[in-house]
Amino acid sequence: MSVYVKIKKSFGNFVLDTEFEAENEILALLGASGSGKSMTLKCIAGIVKPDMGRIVVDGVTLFDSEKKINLSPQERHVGLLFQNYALFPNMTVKQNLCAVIKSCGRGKDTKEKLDTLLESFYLTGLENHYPVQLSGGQQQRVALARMMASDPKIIMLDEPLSALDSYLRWQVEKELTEILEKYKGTTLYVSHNRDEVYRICRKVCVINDGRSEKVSSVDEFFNAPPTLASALLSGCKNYSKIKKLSNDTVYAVDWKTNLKCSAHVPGDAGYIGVRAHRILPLSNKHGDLNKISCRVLEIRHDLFSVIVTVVPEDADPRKEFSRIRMELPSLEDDSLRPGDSMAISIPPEMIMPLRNRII
Amino acid sequence: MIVRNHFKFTLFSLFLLTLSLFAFPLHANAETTLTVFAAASMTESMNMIAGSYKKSAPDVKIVYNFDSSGTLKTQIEQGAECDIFISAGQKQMNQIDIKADPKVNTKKLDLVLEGTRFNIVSNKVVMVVPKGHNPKGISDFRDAVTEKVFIIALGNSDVPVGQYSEEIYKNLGLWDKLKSMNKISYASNVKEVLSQVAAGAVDCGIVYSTDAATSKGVDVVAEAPKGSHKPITYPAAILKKAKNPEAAAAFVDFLKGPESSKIFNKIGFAVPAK
Amino acid sequence: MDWFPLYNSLRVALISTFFTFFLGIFAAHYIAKTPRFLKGLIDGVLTLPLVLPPTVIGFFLLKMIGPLGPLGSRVLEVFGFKLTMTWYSAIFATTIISFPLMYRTARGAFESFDSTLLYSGQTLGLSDTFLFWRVIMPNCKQGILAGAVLSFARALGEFGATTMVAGYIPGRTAIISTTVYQLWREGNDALAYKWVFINLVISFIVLTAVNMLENRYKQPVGAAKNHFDHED
Repeated sequence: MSVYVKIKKSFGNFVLDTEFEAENEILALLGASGSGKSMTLKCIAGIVKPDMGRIVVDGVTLFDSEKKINLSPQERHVGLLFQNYALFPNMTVKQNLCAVIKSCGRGKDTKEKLDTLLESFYLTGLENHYPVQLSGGQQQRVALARMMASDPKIIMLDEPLSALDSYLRWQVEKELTEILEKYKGTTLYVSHNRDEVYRICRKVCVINDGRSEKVSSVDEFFNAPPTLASALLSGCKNYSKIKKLSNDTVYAVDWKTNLKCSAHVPGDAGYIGVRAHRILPLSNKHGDLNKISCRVLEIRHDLFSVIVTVVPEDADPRKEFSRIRMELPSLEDDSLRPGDSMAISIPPEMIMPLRNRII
Repeated sequence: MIVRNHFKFTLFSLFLLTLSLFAFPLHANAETTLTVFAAASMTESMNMIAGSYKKSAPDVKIVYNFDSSGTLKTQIEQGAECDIFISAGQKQMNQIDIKADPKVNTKKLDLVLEGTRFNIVSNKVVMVVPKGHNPKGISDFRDAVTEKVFIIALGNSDVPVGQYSEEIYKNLGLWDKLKSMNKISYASNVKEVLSQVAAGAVDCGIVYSTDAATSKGVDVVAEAPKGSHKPITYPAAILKKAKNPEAAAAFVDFLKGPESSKIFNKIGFAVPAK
Repeated sequence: MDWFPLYNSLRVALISTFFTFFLGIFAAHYIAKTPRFLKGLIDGVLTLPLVLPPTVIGFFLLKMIGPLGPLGSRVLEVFGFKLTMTWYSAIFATTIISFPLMYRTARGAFESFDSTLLYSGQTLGLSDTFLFWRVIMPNCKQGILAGAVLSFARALGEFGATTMVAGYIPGRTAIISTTVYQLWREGNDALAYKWVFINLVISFIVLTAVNMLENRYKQPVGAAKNHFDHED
């Protein structure tokens, strides 16, 4: 089951402008809170009407502003799992499920279908419980089961793991992944958490301030994010504005130094990004490619690493981009203190050229 | 004084303004005001008399309060300002006259100025139907207990005409029967009885002949059978607490005079012989 | 003692609440669908009886359903019965006057209702009718019930408009409030006190019933409860 979306909707200052397509895969819609990801899902589900555009699922046009087609949510057969699961609090698990089974089928083999669902989602024994009596993970399974009972052509999950405590998340994520793998259609997975996206999804579409970027594979996204926004979302912490000097050399404005890049630098690249754990303290092993003399600003010991924030000697320590953050497994030199000098080296293959805007 | 908070200042000024409305009298004290409480059925006639009186006593302003005699008596009892009281029934006047039967004046009120009580007019009780609309041919007080009448409007027992209605039906031997038939629509004063009949909300009603005469919405179909009720005389008196006893006495003289009698007769009242 | 006023008051209040219940719910539900500029106007009109003096409402009603009024005379002609001075005349008055209470309370309940429940139901293919009666209404039970009780209480206590359109006919249109008024006018305090006491008892019973119902229906709505998932 494929899905094609190209919609625009204006909310006063905020403009939603998203376009993407997917076919029988798990596509992540990754973006910060308020970026428009949930709104996009609502448009696909038919709860919100875009100002213009087209939405086609499995060959059926759900919405077309030009042809004046706008199917009601009931007619669209798309599944949408809300963040709060939206289980009907006045009905038991059994009633929640049967309501959907009955409205989709003729009611003949309701009991069979119900039992199958309960089994597949590990809910046997919970039929007569009310949602308020279930744990977060159980509620999610009920919501998923209910969604699957409606036989959706595509399923959309709106931040499915956000409502859970972190110690629950791992187990629930595992179950969720199993269920999603069994589902043969397209899944749209909305999240602001890149780690989830990396583990669960195959493709990523970044949504930034209402606008969607080009769909890329998860690998591409993390190794070579195309834009500044993507890089931010992918967790990259170090950026500098640049001036392109040649296809493989740039002048980093915020770091006041030239840098050699392994990756090709496109003409419209405005920034570079380097991941925090890719920057190394200068030592004999790494040579002096892309060496920068810095001064230490701050040293923090995190759970499994040490975070050292430095600033290049010539740069302005008050500017945010000037600061370079390094994540090291440990400190070789225990006596390092804020204010000390420290030379760092950035391996050329770790520099990611970034465009300013979406493609 | 520096006004910091504009809102608070406005609120305070409004408050002062409201208070001041109660502090100052609304009219200049150049003229005398006479407050006359009179039964509702006296409305038309008393208004005409006041207009006439203005010619002889231009600086006397007469302020009326028309309502059922029972309500007026209660208001007087509870301290309302009043110079002259005209009731449509002896009972209400008796209740505030120390010279009256203590069984009626149970609270032993002494509000009547001695020697000023007199009977100002007398009235008749009639049965009325909506104007031009008497399909069942109601023509007698006794028709009330037949199927000719579905609902009849009477004043309640606090209203003099209501008391007379009850007396009439008791004397006809029909009161209990009438009550048991759930046909009585009780009104709080005569005007209400009239408006219920005029609107056609009831089939008939019992009012004074004076009210029937002044209402454009009813037709009279019967007079109360002879002897079925005590004569209806309206007592009037100056009250002890009158603010202007002299002006009141002057007005009372006018009420007893020939000009007033002419007006009363026009309305349908009879004036007792001196 | 003549118990008719009690019987009549309850009868009128119950029937009136029945009408108000459905009218109020439907008005509250559909007002959400009206375009914005019209919404304020309609809401104002529907709330008007709450702020108008009951005698003003009684006046308008009389002009409409009185025997000489456009509606009243038509009904008299066609069906042969009067709309005023009957026991059911009171129902017109009490329904109009208590309607805003039901309408506003229901509206408040619907507006604080979690709309994701509705949306999710729609995406699951459940019809709007099913969702209204099986999801929205049960989850707004408290508010709806409160509205119904308020309407009933207001209908029970109506005086101004009722006395104008139904009058006071013992055995036919008398209700507790008009009876107490007449008894006061006649000076029959003893009987008046009896009725006041009866009215207090009824009100007390109604309010206690409401409190009990409210406590029964106090369940937390919706959100995930996080505790150890023993089933896994």
